[in-house]
This record gives sequence, structure tokens and C-alpha cells, in this order.
Amino acid sequence: MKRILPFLVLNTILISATCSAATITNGDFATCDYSGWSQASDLDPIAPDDFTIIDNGGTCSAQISADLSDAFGNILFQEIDLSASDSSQLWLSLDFSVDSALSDQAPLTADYFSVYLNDGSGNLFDQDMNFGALFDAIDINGAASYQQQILLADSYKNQTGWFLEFQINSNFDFEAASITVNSVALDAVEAVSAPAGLSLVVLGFAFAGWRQRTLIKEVTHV
Amino acid sequence: MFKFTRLLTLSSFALIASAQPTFAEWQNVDGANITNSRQTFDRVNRQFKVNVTVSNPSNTDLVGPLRLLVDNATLASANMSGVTEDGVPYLSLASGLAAGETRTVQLAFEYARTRLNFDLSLEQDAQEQSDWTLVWQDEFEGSEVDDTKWSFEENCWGGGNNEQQCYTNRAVNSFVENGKLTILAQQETFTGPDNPNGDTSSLATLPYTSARLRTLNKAEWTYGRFEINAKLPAGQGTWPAIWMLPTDYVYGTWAASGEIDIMEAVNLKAQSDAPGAEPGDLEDRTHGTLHYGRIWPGNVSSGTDYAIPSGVNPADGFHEYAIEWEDGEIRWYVDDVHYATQTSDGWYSQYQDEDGVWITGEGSAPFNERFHLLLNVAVGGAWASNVNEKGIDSSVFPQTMEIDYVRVYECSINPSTGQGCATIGENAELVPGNQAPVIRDPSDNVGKGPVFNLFTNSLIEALSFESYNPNGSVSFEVQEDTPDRGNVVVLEQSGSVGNMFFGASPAINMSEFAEYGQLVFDIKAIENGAGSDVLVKFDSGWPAVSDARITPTSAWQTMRLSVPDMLSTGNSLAPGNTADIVDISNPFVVEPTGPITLALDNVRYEFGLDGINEVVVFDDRDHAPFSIGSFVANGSVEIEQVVSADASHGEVKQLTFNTNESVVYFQTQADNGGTTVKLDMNSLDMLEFDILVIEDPRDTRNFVIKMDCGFPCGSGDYPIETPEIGVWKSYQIPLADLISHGGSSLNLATVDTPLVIFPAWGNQQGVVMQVDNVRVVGDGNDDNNPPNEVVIDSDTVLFDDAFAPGWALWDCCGNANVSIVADAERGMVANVDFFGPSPTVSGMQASLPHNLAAAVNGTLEFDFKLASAPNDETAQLLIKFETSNGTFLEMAMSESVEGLAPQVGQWQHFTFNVGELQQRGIDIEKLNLILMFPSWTKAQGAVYQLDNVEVRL
Repeated sequence: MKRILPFLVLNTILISATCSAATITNGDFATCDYSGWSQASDLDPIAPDDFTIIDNGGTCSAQISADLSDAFGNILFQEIDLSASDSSQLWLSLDFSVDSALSDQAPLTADYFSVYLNDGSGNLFDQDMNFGALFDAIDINGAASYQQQILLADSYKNQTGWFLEFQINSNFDFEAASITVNSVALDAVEAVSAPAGLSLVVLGFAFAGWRQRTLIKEVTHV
Repeated sequence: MFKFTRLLTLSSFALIASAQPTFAEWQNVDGANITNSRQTFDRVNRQFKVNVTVSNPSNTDLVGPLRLLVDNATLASANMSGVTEDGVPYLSLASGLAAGETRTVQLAFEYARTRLNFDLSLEQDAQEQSDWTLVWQDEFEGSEVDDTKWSFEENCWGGGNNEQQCYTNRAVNSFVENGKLTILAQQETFTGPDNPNGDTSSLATLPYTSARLRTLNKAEWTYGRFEINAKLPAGQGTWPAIWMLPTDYVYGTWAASGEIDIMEAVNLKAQSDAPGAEPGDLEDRTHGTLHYGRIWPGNVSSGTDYAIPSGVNPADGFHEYAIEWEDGEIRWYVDDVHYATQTSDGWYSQYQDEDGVWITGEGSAPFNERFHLLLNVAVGGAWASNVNEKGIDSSVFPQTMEIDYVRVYECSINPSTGQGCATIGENAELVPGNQAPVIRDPSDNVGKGPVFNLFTNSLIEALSFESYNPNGSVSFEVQEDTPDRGNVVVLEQSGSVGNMFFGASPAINMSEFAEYGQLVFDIKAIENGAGSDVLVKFDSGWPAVSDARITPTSAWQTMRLSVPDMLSTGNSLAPGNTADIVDISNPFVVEPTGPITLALDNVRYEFGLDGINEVVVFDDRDHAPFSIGSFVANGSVEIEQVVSADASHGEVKQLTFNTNESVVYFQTQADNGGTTVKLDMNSLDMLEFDILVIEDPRDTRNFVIKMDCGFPCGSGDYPIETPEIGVWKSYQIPLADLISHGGSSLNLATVDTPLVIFPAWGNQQGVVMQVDNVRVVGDGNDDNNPPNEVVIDSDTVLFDDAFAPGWALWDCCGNANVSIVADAERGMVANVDFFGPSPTVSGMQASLPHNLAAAVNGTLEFDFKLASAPNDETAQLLIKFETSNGTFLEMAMSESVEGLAPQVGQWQHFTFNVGELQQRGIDIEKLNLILMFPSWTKAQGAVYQLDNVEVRL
């Protein structure tokens, strides 16, 4: 499964009721290309095969690879709109998977990936706007998928010049690895005035979000 | 040690050059956990980044400073603070780690396609001074602002800087939440007191609200360490400040009693205008500054800026801004990086005592008195609106400054001086500051400008009464005249030989007055039945004499004798001789040619341009009373006198701009009170100067000049043709052009700064230029002198689609918007919108008085439409005429020839007879203001339009 259906439904209810301006362009790659996204690499020029689109019956994903070329790091990134009202919360939804030619590798020996927010000056930040990352140099040791709802700190609200970035890095083992980004969404969710019938849903969602913020580990191995 | 009672998680961590204590003893920290991520590629800087997490799992705080050692790295580090004594790179950590605390820092390494390895360890300074004792703090742990510690300023004053915010005490503008104080600035029209005292009898309306908190009368300190951990707002028009003001103002009002700016920033994350900034570089500097000197406008300032390394923007996270203040020295820190020091060698306070005598404050004045803290976010204003992208970007608001804590420490070594606890950084900039102006003691100022007083009530000590009196016919004494005039010298000559003089021993060098000096004195003939003349002289010993002959009258007269003319004329009794101006032994000699009794008073030398047809301001040297100076908002301008590579230019002034905000000027001397010499240049026609641009890296190479008549009186910015780099270019600017120039208020009768010259404000960095041959010249024909009035001798249109030259819309008090707008029927019309509630009057202003004498039988007419009535229905529409010499006449507009009051929505014609204006007290030869406005205090809501303003003969 590419998506966890219950989350998707809750998210849809909430957002359709209360979301505001925060957006990511072509976050679900519905255009089956990299519209709205930018690519970067330590390799210049970028190796075209490192950035591909996977079309699975009209549902497209972006795939970034390591060790198909001489690149050490390949980056997919997009400047994000952090517009949000005072009473809303910024939720970042991530749905991606990773895979590698090798598995059962020793810790810190595999190719690895990171997901983080970049302030535009090259510094990497986590969801609390501390130095760090949302996913910080995680080993790609076989297939794994990630579906995350991450609450961004209020300090991100209405900031400009920030980028969401996916980076895959080679461990110089010349064995391919990849990260496949299925969808990314950023929503400003009003956290107040939920209709009575929705209140439990909202609370449940908020709780889930809190857990994500503190623990980010809804990882499903397949 | 810094005694932190609570160590909060910082959103970002200091990674930077640190304040290493003078005698640090670094020891390894065994109990800390250190982990790191693997390298990621920083696409912006093409570096590697590594996140390092440092944890303190113990139950004991790890007191800072700490440093993270990065040893055996396989790639060169790119953001280290320094290297240890053993050559190991390290990062300084801003403060300690509380028990259980975890933080992440980010290391940067140079890029190479290889695996990165390194070893990490943590060290603590065991010797870090434990001498700062926490004496006051606010951790903002409650649910509201603690009113035992803070009070609010509530006003729409604008901070004296034309800032655009009203400060309120409302929770929307400042609140405590989640352990932080937030000051929020937002776009919102608000009305409040227009003064800093909160006096509600006078109001202003401004388009933003914010908050300004202070500890005045709740907490004040003299010396100590002040730490404020804060996250700053971003965007064009934001101006956060963490600062201190004196509580008692013992040396006088701002800035004689000082101001300490712990941290200021403007327009963070807007386009940077820092030296060397490229398009796309974002503003990231904070500033530490002192203001001091004399009361405004005699204040000065000094300071420097600081950018957190690795491109970390102060608006993206919390950083600690601090000062250490001790007797005679103040140091600035960001995240414990000591980046600036100022000392009392570079600051001063000068004030006047009860007798008006200027005094320089003793010791480390003014920074030796009680100061209190202030926290605020201003919007726009003189600084923020004039740099970076200019103006205010309303789209960035609301913006917040969040403050995590404010902590104040006392130096336990010596609380009374604050000395002995200093944290000294290795690379801090010693800001040179400013030297106190020399206070001229009259006894030390003999022969010098701007005014060399010889006799006022008494003779100065450097001189003595002397007389050449071979026949005993000369007598003199000091007598009291009228109480207003005080003492005068009464001289009686009963014969025809002899004189009285003021003798100087040693002789005086009076060369400052050689070119533009005047010998000035008051004289009255008490008895002159013989009709005697008087020779007035100065000399260097017979026959080196310069003289002039005058005939006193029975009324007091002020005589002005040109020093250069007298030097030129020389000795009328021994032609071919003249005084040696550098060796004047008798600066004032009075020699009646026959019997006479005289009174003399107020004998002095000063500057004047009577009869001068060419004023040399600079050519090879400064020509008194002119000298060169600069005003620098930040950065620096280096002014040197150098020998030109072009021999024909000799010595020139060379200006090197390491700033974007400065002007260089040639100005007259100032007296002890800072008042400059005002010179009448009405008989002159042209400003001339030469420029050689040596270096100019700017994309837009624009240059500007001005002529000032006692700022803000002046020509306004006058762009000049851009000179080619490397080629001397001569400029001749007609003074008439400077007067008619838009926005000019230049008054040639009171010029004190004949040339202000600068690369355009905001765009100066890197310019190196030379200036030579600065002159103001006349053509000898007074018939074509720049006008000092406009004579109306025919039907004259003052406005029709546009204003006639010299006329502009004007609003006295900042509560009306004035503009030229398009009217569907009439084309362009003048529009005045009284948007604010404060009293104001608006209308038309002329830069020169208009002489309507020829229209005494004519009319002043205009079309007027009251587009919107005042909110107050009782408000009457008034018209007021004012003149440059102070006469004025205010009347109802319904007193026009037509006799009708303005009706809303209708264009109406109004006619006023000029002769009637004259009869009612207006000097019709000096008209310069025509104002239309609703009754005082009742204008708000009114909008009117004006067209076809005309004087008809």
C-alpha cells in the first residue's frame, strides 16, 4: 500500500473543512513530471538517470537514486509556502519509500537518505526549527516505506524562503539505492471550532500528530 | 560561572567564534553523549553538513562555555570557531547544557567526493569566571507580562525616527506564552498620543501597532552583564531593538546621557545591502551601538555590526544578545561571541552648566549612571525605511520578536565598577568611537573662529588696553551703558593725535580671517561737534598697519570692515605697508582724526562674504571657515588629503566609502554650541567643484550633491551627471537650480554647508573619489543673482495640472496625505486628505516668498472641491495666508468675493482680493503659504481638491 487509508480520510475531512493557504506544488506528482520541483546534485551536470518518474498506471512518483552515477548526493527540493493563520497548525504529510540493491548491511554502511527543511542558506532544520532533519541520514537497507504526518513548529508559520528537501547519499559502495517520493502535502489546519461530530476525529488526529512530532517512527517494512 | 537557573532549548545553536576567557582552562567533559549524523550535501554552499547531537545525561548542569572539538577530520572544516592550543578545530557552544538537555549543532566541511570521518569531544572551561552573579531575570514562565518588572510605553510618537507604529499595552501586541515573551507588530490603523509622554491631548494615527516594554522605575542598573535570548522578526520595515536608556538623564536629554543598544536589526531577510552583498543575499546583521555626545542634534554614535557565521539568520532562531558593561568599557556579544568593544576613550558627554558654559562629563560619562532595559519592535522609521529594499513591505506583517529570557548579572569582583569579570574575545573589534569636540575656552581661542571676541562687557584676558597718547589728549574707560548693552568702552579724544588700542602680547595669528574675516564692532558718537572721522586699524607694529576710515553717527551702528579689504588697502598713512595677518600685535586700534567722544562695544572678528565674489572652500587646503566632515549612519568614510596624480590639482580631498549610508560635506566652523557660521551667498551665482572617481564598483553609479543652510534647510538631494572613472570632471551648478530644485528650501542668506557630496544614499560601498576646487562664485553682476523672491508682475498660474516651480503641497503635522491625483473632469488636481485626528493644516507652500505688490489691485483665485466633509459637522472650512516674515491672516473661505462656503462634491470658484489681504495685515511682498483646512482639531475625514490656482493682476 502506498497510503494508509485511515490517515488519508481523516486528513481529507480536516483539510476540506478548515485548511488554508499552505501548499506544495505538484506534491503528488500528478503531472507525472517534476513540475514545481528542483533537482540538485554534487555532480555537475546532474545525471539524468538519478532523477526519474515512475508511472504506475497513471499514478506517478519521483524516484531519486544513488550509485547509478558518480554523484554522492542527489537532492529533490521545492520552496514551500508556509502561509498559515494564527489559529492554524502546519502539517507536513510525507509518503515515500526507499529500497536498495543490498540488504542486511551493517549500520552506517549503507547508502542513506535525509529529509529536512532548508532555510535557503544551506542550514538543515527539523520540524521544531532546530538544527537537524526530519529524517537524518537514515540507512537504506532494503525496502521500507514511510507515511508521516509531521507537525511543524509555529515558528515556521508565514516564514518565507524555506525549502523541503529529499536527499539520497551514496556510501561509495557502487550498489544502487533509491528513494521514491509518492506524495507530499503541506496543510495549514485550523485547530479550533471543529463540528461536534468531528471533534473526536480532530482530537485523534491531533494526538497522532503530537506523537509524530515527538517520535516520527510510523515505519512499515514491506 | 553564569548561574543559569534554567537552560532553555535553543532553536539554533551557536557555532561560532567565541569569547574565550582570558585565562581559560579547558578540560574534557566525560559525561556528555555526542552523536553525529553522516554527511549530507549542502547544495547552497556546496559543502558537507553533519548534525551533531550533544546530550548531558547527568543530573548536574554543564556550565558553559563549552567547546566541541573536531579532531582528525578527513576534510577541512568550514565553520569552526577556532583551533585549540593544540591545533584542533573547535566550535564554541553558546552556553552550558542543563541536566538532561540535548542539543544539535551543525558542522560544515569542505566538499570532496569522499567519505568523511572525524572524532568529536567536548571540553568545558574550568576557569570560566564565576564572578557574574545573577541579580535580575525574567524567564517569562507565567501567563502574562510581569508588571513588577515591565511597564508599557503607549504612544504613536514614532520614536523620534518617524517610525510607523503605535505602541500599545494590548495582549495582541505583547504576550507571554510557552515560556516566551512575544512582541507582535502588525498592520493596523491606530490612534494614540503623538508624544513619548503618553499625553492624550495630542494624538496621531499610524498604520501599525506593536509593543515597547521597559523596566524604568522597576529595575535599573549601573554596570553588569545583560543577556537577552531572542528570535528576531524578519522583513523589510522591521526594526527590533533590545536596548538601554538612562533613568535619570543627569547629563541632559537624548543623547547627552547616553543610549546603549545591545542589539538592533533592520529588515532581516530582506535583500542585504552589506558591503559586498550580491543580489539574493539576505540581510543578517545585528548591530551594537552607543549613542552619546550632546543633546540632539549634537549627538553622535558609534558601533558595529555582526553576522552569525554560516549564514544563520537571526530571524530563524533564538540567539543570545549580551553586553558586559563596566566603568569605562562596554563589550557586545552574540551567542557569547565577543564581537565589539567600546571604551570611554571613544565616547563622551557634553552639556551646558547653568551659565551656558559647555562642560565635558568626567570619567566614563554618560555611561556611569543608572540605565534601564527596553524591548520593542519598531516598524519603518528613519533607519529601516531607508536601507535594504527601502520602505515597509506590508506583506511581511505580522512579525514577532520572541524573547526567551532576560538576565542581568552583577560583577561580584567589583559591583561598583563592574570591573574584573570581563569575558574577552580574541577577535573583538575595538570600535574607535568619537572624540569630544574641543570646547573652546575664550582665553584659548584668541585669533580663531568662528567668532574671536575682543570686547563684550570686558576685554578678554589675552588683550590689554593700550594707548598712543603723545599729547595726553586721549582718555578712555569702561562704563556701563544701558542695562541691556552692559559695559562699553568710552573713548575721548580732545586733540587730533593719538589712539586707543587693544594690545596682544604675544602677537596673534589671525590667518583664519584673512580671506573671509570681518572686523565687527558697535560704535556710537557721543559727542562729535567737530565732525571727526575715525581710523580703525589692526597692525603688526608700525608701519605694518591695515586701516579703514569710518564716520560714526550719534546712534549705535554695527560696523563691518572686511579683513581682506583692509589687508589689501594697507596703511593709508604709509602706503605700501600692511599688517601681517599671522602676527597681529594690535587687533583693534581706534584713532580719531579729531576731537570726538566715542562709545564702542562688541568688538570681534567673524566671518562674512560682503563684497566677496569668489568663495574658495577647498583648493589645496581648507579655507577658513570651511572644513570637511562626514555623517556616517553606519560603516565608515575615510577622508584624506592627498597629492593628486594630476599635478595641476595639487592636494585634493580623497574619500573612501566603506558604507552605504553617509554624506561628506564642506561646512563652516561651529561654535561651542554646535551652531555653524551662516554666510550670505545671495550675491553669488554658481557652485563649482571637480571630481575624480578612482574606484566605483557599483552597478548604478549615481552621485548626489546638496547645499545646506542649517539642516534641514537646504537644496535637497541634487543628482549630478555621473563622472567617468579615472577622469577629472568639473561641475558648475547654478545656485538658481539648487533653489528651484524640487523639495529645495535653500536660503542663500544662511548657507553653512556649500557642498554636501556623496554617492547616492544606500549605494556607496567601494567608491573612492577625490574632490578639488570647491568654490562658490559670482559673476560680478548682481542683476542676475539667484532669486530670493518671486515677483508676480503678470497673471501667474500657481497650479494647473502641476505646480509652478517652487510650489508644492504641504502638511504641517503629518495628519494629511497630500498628492496630485487625476480628476475625471479636470485632469490632474491637488488632493489633500485629512486622514488623521491630530490637528493639522495643509495647503500650498512656496520655496521662495512671492511678491504680489503688483497685484495689489488684483486677485488670488482658485477652484476648490470639498470631496469629503470633515467628520465633525461643526468644522468650518478656513483659508490662511502666511508670509516669510511672519505675517498671517486666517479667515473663513466663505469670506471670499463669492461669499459661499464650500459644498461637498462641488467644484467652486473662490476669489480673494490681494489688496484686502494687505489691509488685513498680510505683507503681500512675502507670501509663501496658502492653506485651506477645516477648523483646528476638526479636520479628520475631510478631503479637498484644488485646481487652477492663479494670481490675476
